[in-house]
Amino acid sequence: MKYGLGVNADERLQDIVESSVEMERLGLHYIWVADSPSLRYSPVIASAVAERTSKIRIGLGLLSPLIHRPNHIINSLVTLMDLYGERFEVCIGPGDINQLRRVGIDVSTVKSLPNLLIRVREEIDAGLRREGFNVKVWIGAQGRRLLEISRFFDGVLLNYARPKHVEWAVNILNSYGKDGLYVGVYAPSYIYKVRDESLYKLLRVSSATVALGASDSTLKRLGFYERLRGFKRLLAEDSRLEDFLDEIPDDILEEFAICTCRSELKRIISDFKRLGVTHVIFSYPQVLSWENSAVLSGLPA
Amino acid sequence: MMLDIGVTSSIQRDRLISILRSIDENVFHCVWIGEDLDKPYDVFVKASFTLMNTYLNVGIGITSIFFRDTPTIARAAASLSEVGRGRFRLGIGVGGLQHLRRMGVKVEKPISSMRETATLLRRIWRGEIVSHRSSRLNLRRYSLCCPYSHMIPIFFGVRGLRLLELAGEVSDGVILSGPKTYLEEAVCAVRRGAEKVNRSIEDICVVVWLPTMLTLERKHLESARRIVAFILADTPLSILSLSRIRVDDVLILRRALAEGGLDAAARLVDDEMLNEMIFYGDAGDICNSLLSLERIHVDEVVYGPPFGVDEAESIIKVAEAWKRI
Repeated sequence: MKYGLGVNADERLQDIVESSVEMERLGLHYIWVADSPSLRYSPVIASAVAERTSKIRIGLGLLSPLIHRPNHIINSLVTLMDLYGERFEVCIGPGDINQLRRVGIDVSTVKSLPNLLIRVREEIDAGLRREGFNVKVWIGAQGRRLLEISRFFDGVLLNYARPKHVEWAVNILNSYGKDGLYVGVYAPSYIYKVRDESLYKLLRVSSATVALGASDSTLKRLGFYERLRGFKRLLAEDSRLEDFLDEIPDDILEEFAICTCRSELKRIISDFKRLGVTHVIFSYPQVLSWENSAVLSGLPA
Repeated sequence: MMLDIGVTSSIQRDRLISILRSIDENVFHCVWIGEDLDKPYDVFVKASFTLMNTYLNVGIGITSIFFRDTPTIARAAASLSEVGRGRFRLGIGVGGLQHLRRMGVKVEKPISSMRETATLLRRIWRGEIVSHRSSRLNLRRYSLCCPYSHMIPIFFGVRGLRLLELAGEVSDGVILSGPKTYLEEAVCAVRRGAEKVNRSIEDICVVVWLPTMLTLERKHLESARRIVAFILADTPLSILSLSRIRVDDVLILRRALAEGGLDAAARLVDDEMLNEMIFYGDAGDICNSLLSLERIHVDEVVYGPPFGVDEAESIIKVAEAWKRI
């Protein structure tokens, strides 16, 4: 099992870099630098992390081909590897529908998204090979349509936190089988020694972003659609998440996040392992507390 | 007047490091990185690396506003300003038309698009929640959510007189390139634009970036001729007509480029073209030529590329000559 930390939301750049150095020292395998239209530009943040680290692998993404042309993605990876060595990977996917709407992109009108993602993956592969590089390309997936095309990628990062949801996704992956497909869990996380309510509040923001970014079919399958559709409509009408965050039920948000103490985490990890998960990425706000991130060292291999 | 140094985004790591090590940080003021659109390198990542490996200002000179959308430019620039703690400068422009066309990028309404981009970038960096709709963009309550505090200087890398006037109106600086006899006209256009909105030319940082080559022997100018041929092929005829270069000769050169490649075109670069498009000579000649631009209100001049036969040594010699002068 490989572990990583997801960064690039409200943290200061200096904190992202220092956390990355600390995570490398603690033996974590990955830093994944998130990207969305309202976040910092992930290739620049990746370079800042790479400048101060030497071994840890750095993932870019999720990068949405709806805002990054394939040649932009290729250019970023080639430049990073030319400058810092071959320790970069990339994850592509449609991206957060609510964030994309803010920059005028309506994902629902994009024709045959799965085909677009497969084509972009092939272009990235070809472009990198031309430059003499070989990079793992992941797909970020949650719903059935994208899980079904995961076999065209090196790995799939699942935007789920609960073993039962991961199990549903893994069953689909298995039915479309590809040997050697990496399966990662990428979830808002707060693993703590002593729970801090201010960090828990940030976890709610991160978890709500994932929940409200999920497709209607995913929410229906999980049984949350009726309770969330009003909030989804508010976002579609250009309200901002912070305007109604407190009204979103806790029980739903907890389904989209890993929020636990270390001893409980070991049980969750062992469930993930049983399901064939190969990578777990603890995403925002885990990075905000070094003390809490230190609990990630020495997790079972 | 300040001395800057210029490289392009396709520069390899070791060469960039060698150049950065050769730079006397007491002499040079800024490292400019031009975006090579047809090479597989990310100019923002190169700028980030450069910011982390020098104490100088670092500028992108320029990135095309038609190649990336405004939110991406905004957040990339904000990230770089954070990396460089306020030392980053953003150059924007239309970009090389031939390259953009080859990549299938449409260029429409350059003047209103440049004005729109500069205005939106500043609003986003100020932390505003921006709603804006145009033929190019549709922002709906968009804002940048990373913590951000520096206002990034926006430089326009443009050549047409109307775009230069716009630079005078709205930019913090302008990066000029093109024939030497055109530069004076270009500064006048920037001044006209500035005066339209009650600004002065003094409010705008005028940067000139022309190829520069330290050489004592004419045979070394062959590589310079290739660069000049390449630039002349992409320089609008309206700009060339403001210079001493004969437009008919450039048309012949372009035909040679299309039919016989860069070597064939380079053979047609005569001394007049060379003198108009490049600074060359020994270190003292180059520094004197660069300093002579002060009389037309140029604030910063960019040295390089091709620099000289030995890049690192050339940079050191020019820095020494600049200090002496």
